[in-house]
Amino acid sequence: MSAQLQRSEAIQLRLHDDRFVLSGPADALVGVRTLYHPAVIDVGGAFDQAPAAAFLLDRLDVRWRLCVAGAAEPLGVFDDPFHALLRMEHEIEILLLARLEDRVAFHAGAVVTPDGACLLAGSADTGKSSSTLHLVELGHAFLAEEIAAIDSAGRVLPHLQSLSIDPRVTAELAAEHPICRGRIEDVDELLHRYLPTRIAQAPARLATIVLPIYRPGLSARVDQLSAESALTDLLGFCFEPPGDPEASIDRIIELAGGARLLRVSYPDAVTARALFADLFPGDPE
Amino acid sequence: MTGGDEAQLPRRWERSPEARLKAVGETEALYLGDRRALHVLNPTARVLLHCLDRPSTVAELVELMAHLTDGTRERLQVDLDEVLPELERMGAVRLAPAE
Repeated sequence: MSAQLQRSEAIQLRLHDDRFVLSGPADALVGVRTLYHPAVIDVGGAFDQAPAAAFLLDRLDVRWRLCVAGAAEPLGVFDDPFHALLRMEHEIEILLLARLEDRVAFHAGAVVTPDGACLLAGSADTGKSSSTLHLVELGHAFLAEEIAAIDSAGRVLPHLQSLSIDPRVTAELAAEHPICRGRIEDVDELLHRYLPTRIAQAPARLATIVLPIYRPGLSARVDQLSAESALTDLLGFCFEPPGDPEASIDRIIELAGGARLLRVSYPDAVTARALFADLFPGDPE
Repeated sequence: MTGGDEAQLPRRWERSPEARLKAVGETEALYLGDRRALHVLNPTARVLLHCLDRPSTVAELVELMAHLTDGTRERLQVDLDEVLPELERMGAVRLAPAE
């Protein structure tokens, strides 16, 4: 009965060219502001296009059920609203990747440097998100996290999801470089989310691809890579294309040939910060 | 190498229709369409796959590659005996249909 008295809310997310709508009790949806940058969230506004998917979050006794409008089965039932929203975030990624059309997408973060977009590509635990954080904290505008899609004109599209950061990274940085260009939200003891303040809302032409390697004990170094030496890694960090795979490979070869390619290896967050400061001097403001 | 009853006949190798060469930086990569796989080629493999633009026997390949690389004929013969079956397993080359 009490659930019926709760105020409902509809939130619209603008990601790539698509819109996603989430409806549910207002206090259960607050976590959306942790997962996505405020710039992509509209609350209570008019919908300017049909959504790619509409999600509904509702209470089911003491748990929370997440559904997609039109689907026969719910996406899942969760102990708390935030974990339902994490599931929605994953579902949105799947939907966006299925709608890439002529774009290629890397498992990568991205920022905008004075030269153009810098992609930080890698699999989980290679330091992709923390490298993106370093560059944002150095003053570069945040462009993408998790999915960096590149259009046929070679521009990286904004994907303004918050960054998933290992709390050890911010702990290592705290003494010398406390977070100042965004805010950290504690999701739990294993994961923080970082919401950058300065963002790029327009696509930016790809200029650099960095392949970070974070591993304790590793020697700090930067290697300039040729297209041929980076290609295998790049293919591994590319999401499976929905269309012609050979066309995607041709695009990746073309992108690799036109970008500056760097491998940045580092053993800890403070060293990474110093390497990135040398490579991409930021805005001191 | 080809064994069997046809061992007396000079068999010809050719590049598979699904194997396409793509320029990557200063070298080339082999794309295998049916397997969605890409392999960056070393210089010798690159020369070999170009030689297989048209069907060739091992003896013809040895001669061609002897002119295009630093390898001796003896060394090339040994290398091709190893590499061609490997490329065949990858789907990059095949024995050409008998004429």
